[in-house]
Amino acid sequence: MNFLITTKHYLKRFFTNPLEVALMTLLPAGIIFINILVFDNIANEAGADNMYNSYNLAATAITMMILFMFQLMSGVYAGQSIFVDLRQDRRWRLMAAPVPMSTYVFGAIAASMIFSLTTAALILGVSFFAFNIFLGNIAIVVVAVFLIALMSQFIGIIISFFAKSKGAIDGIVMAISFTMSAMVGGFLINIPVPQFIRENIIPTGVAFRAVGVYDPINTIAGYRMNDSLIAIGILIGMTFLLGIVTLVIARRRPF
Amino acid sequence: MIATMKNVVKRYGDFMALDHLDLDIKEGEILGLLGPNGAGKTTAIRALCGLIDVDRGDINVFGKRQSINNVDIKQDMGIVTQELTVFSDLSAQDNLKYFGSLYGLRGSQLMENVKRVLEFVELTEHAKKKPDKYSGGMKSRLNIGCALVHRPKLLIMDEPTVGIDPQSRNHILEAVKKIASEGTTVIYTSHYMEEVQAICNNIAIMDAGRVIAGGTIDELVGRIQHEDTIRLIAAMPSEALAEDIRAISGVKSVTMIGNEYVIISTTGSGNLNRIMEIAMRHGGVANISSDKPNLEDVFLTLTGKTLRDEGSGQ
Repeated sequence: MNFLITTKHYLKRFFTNPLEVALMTLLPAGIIFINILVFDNIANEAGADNMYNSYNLAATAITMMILFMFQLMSGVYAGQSIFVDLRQDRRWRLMAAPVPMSTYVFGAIAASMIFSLTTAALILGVSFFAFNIFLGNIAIVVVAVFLIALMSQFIGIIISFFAKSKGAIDGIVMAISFTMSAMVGGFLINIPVPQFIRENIIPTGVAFRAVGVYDPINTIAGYRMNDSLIAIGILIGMTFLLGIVTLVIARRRPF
Repeated sequence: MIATMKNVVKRYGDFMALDHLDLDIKEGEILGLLGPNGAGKTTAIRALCGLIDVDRGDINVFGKRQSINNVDIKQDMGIVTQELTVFSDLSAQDNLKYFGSLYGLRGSQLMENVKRVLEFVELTEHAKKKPDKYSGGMKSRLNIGCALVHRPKLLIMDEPTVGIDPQSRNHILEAVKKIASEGTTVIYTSHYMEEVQAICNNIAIMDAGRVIAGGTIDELVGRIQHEDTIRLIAAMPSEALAEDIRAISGVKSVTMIGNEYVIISTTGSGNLNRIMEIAMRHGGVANISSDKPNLEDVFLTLTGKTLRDEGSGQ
């Protein structure tokens, strides 16, 4: 019961700041829209065709890129909550309550996950209806989004153990997200990375592989489910590893 | 006893924060924990609340052994932290609801307790506002309210009046008396003698991680009733003046605080006149008075320091 109470508490705090809500929903939608307009224009001038079987492949790739980039940023909420509540003076009051510390941590993670998955659903919904993106196997998309969001929570919490300020957590998580996005397809800048590393080691790249961004036509044709499942397996392994690292650090640097 | 601390030791590296501390808390009393900064008051109450582990010793609360993992004991305890630890992004009402729910309150019982506490701390009209819109006194009252919402049997208040205006301070002191009158045992830590004298039944004086004296105000002051406290403000203060005063027979100690000399002298020794003569030879007297001993004097006699001195501190 206390877990539900702490989750509800953190959700309430996340939604009290309308700027944060707008940042996680309207901003990605806006970026996707602008990128699609730009890319459509470039493709048309080059005489290329974005569409395949009525699906907009460019819009699909851009949506997934922005979606996973923002999901990878979502861990900032759990990280900042842990930092402010359990690493500063407020921890004395929270520790004085008859509630184990883990309840606060899991509550923050759960609330942050709900917040980020809600924004993911909004982004996908808007893109699906507005830009005719191809969702492929919706279960694979949901699992990939879930795992990237969960990975981000662990990253946010790990950073909160070492950060000196709330703003530092924000900066580091965003830097990680932007860098990984730049490594897998370019967001504003493109960091060239060998294909093997991009599709097997960089989390956003593995997520793209899972949802078929790198091979959209075969995805649409339905010939690449095994590849998707391998990518999902890699994401599960990465998430599990990050979870273990979080636990080890939490034990060594107790609240 | 509602709680006991026996032979408690807590170290932070080489620094001994609690040095074989013994402390007994009687049910229903307001116990004042008086001592300068760095005496170990906050460490003692954190250990009592099960917020930190100790290196040695026994801490029992409500007949059960206290530890960092003992969640049951915490159900009936409340803590008012020295720092403001409410959520600034939630209204006062939402703060109270959250803390009340952490202690198991639900539904109508929770709302009833929240309403009662808002009335008690006089924030009913401001219940829907966030603490960043509050004055310092209002924030302190909310800080206290969050510790009361679940009706604790044992309430620990760690210097709750630091940094607030005198009017709000008086309000808080009155609130503490009212809380105790309703049956809650209160431990009140402070380095302000006036606060402790105003509200506490029993006082434990701490210094360097241990209790150096304990009892009622009369019992503590009675330890030095054979001594007078003479306060001299010299026109030209100097160490040479202090040395000459120390040399007077019957003078037990001379402590300089700024340009004031606090002199402990044996009662009936007639030293007031001698001290005045010496001060005149050293440039004159701005003011001189002789007071009945108080808690500050008790502390000074026992430690050679004043309550406002910086302790070794962590």
